[in-house]
Amino acid sequence: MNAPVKSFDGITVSVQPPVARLNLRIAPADLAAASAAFGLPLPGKIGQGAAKGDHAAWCLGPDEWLLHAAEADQAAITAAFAKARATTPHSLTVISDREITIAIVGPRAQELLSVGCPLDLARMAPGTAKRTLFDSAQVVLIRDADDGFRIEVWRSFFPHVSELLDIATRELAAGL
Amino acid sequence: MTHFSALSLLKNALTGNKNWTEQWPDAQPKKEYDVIIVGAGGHGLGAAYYLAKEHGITNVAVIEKGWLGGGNTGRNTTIIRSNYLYDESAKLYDHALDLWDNLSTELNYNIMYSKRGVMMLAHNVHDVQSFQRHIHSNRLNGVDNRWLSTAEAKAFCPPLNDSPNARYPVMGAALQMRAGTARHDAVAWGYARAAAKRGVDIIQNCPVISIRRGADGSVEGVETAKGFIRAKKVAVSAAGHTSVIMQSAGVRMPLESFPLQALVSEPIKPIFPCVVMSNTVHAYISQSDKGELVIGSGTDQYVSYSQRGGLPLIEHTVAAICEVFPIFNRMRMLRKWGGIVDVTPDRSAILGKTPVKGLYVNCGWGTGGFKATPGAAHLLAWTVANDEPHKLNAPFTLERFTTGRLIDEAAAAAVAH
Amino acid sequence: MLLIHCPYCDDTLPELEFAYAGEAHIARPADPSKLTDEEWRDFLFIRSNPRGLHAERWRHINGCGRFFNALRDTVSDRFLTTYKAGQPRPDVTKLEAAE
Ligand SMILES: Cc1cc2nc3c(=O)[nH]c(=O)nc-3n(C[C@H](O)[C@H](O)[C@H](O)COP(=O)(O)OP(=O)(O)OC[C@H]3O[C@@H](n4cnc5c(N)ncnc54)[C@H](O)[C@@H]3O)c2cc1C
Repeated sequence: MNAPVKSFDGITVSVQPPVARLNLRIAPADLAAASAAFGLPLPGKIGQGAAKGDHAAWCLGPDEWLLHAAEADQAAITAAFAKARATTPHSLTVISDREITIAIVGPRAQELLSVGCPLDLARMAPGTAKRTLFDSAQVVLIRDADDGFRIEVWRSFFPHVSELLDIATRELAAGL
Repeated sequence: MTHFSALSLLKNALTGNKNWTEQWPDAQPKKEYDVIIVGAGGHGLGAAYYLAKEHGITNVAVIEKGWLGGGNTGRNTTIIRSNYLYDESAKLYDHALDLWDNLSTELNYNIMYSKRGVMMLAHNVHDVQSFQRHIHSNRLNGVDNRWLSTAEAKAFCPPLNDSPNARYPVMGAALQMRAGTARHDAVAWGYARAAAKRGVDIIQNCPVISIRRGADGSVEGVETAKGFIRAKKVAVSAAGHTSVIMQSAGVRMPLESFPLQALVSEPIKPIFPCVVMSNTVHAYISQSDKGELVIGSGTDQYVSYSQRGGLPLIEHTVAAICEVFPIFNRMRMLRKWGGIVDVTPDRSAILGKTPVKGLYVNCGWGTGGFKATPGAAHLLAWTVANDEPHKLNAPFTLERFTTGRLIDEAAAAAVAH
Repeated sequence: MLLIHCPYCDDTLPELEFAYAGEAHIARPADPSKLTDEEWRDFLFIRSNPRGLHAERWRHINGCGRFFNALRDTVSDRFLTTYKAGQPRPDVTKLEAAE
């Protein structure tokens, strides 16, 4: 048996270290309060992202945001939102452990993703994120750069998604 | 019309097969009939045959917008079984099985009914429990159905992937031995030929545009592309198009029409001895006598009359088949097609009278009415002839959606082939 | 594969991200116990199932998560338009004139 290829010249697929990951639901009219609590102006349009230091946010739905921060900041963030709750109703759910992040980097990253993702990835701008599918598993797809993506996938679907990425990486490496 | 026999085959073989006569005449409509049946699928043609044979009503027209058997009858994957959960369904489908048994002889036409066994795979604990409940319920109704262990399922169908590490592990299966397949076109042709022989007019390329009602509300006949045709009794048996036709008579139906797709592979030598269904992964498969693997799935998700369906569903189905039968991984698929199936809220058929005098309906067979063909035809004829339902189809009324006496096969099985 | 325009994302996306959710504009009766059995049947079970234009609900379930409505031709499967939940059924003649 050949050793599994996780990386070749065209692509590197790697599991990322844990982050603080939160799901925010709030009325768009109250976005300023949420931005203040998180310490980053949250983007207003579905798909858009914003980042400052290790804080990042992406708008996934009309009233839904995905927030990322350093693990060490998680408690401070939830505390800030808890304080805001008195005046601004919202829901903030810690989902740090629910998902695993896979980074796919390299000139052929987009090609690899097209194996399981139905989106027209050429239209996806760097800095944006979308909830979508990867071969029937729901994921959040983040595009960091022209040749850099992250997939956030629920823990229970991780084996399926990561195995498919492995197979597809090997196929690309073999020139199939 | 020639009677088919070994002798007639031999005689025609010796004369270069040049002397076969047409199987049924292509009739032009008369002004009036005793009964008009809308839709020349297996159900409609069969009903005409039984009206003539069992009730002596021969002044009958079957009116078809395209060619006979060109609807779902000629598009389906031909699974025949009767192991449904509820008493009403089991009895209805078992009645059909009884008729299938003798149909080739009765019609003097080889419909190739093959009792090769239908095996339904259980992939999880819920499946196991639900299938065992079906088996117990079927046995109480005298319907054949039995439980197979994983090893027994593998022995019955060797291409099956029985690895416990499979994506869809097989935890056992329900097997109905009396179940199997038949040649779909032959069913339509056999009924058409036998009905025509008894005087029934089969009128093709003649869409029914609307149903005309008289001043007292009762049926007067049908408007068609070939003009108005009078009849005091009209039976609509138009599968996916039923609600559109019924609407023209002022009857709104609890039906929605969805595309259902199927596909076949390149032909190969006999490898697949039975029919296998997996409700959980929404795929089923058998091998035709031509050698093609015949593969089907669930319906597309949206209401449509496009008779086409989308590719995502085919991808899903083929992926599932490759998981359950890895041996077929490299096979090429030849063609795919779709039919429009009429689905009721409880996934059981509607077969009976309607609020309109003289108007009868046979519909809602959805994804699984081929197996019912002789039974539905027989009971529709009975209902039309007697102006009341037979006791086997009495529960399958339109009123059940008002009274709440549903026959909820929808809850009993995710799909209903 | 159908391409469906999500009015919330304002983007046209593959069918795989969406779930069909039945006929649109069927309002739940305000006081069900006042209804006759026939009226209740109509609400629960009777659907228009037209050959032609159909107002229907979709959910962008593998995307922004929202329910919205669409007008689609059930013979060609072509979408005429999609619109946000809560909006009335658009006037078709106007839509066709705009094309
Ligand atoms: C892909 C597929 C796979 C299936 N697999 C199975 C299976 O494995 N087992 C099973 O039991 N069932 C299966 N079914 C379901 C089965 O095919 C149907 O339930 C059954 O064939 C219905 O028979 P029918 O005679 O009522 O309808 P049809 O054969 O559809 O006949 C109705 C006829 O009415 C005609 N018609 C419609 N409108 C008009 C009009 N206005 N005027 C005149 N004529 C009109 C149509 O052209 C059609 O010929 C499948 C269906 C499909 C599409």
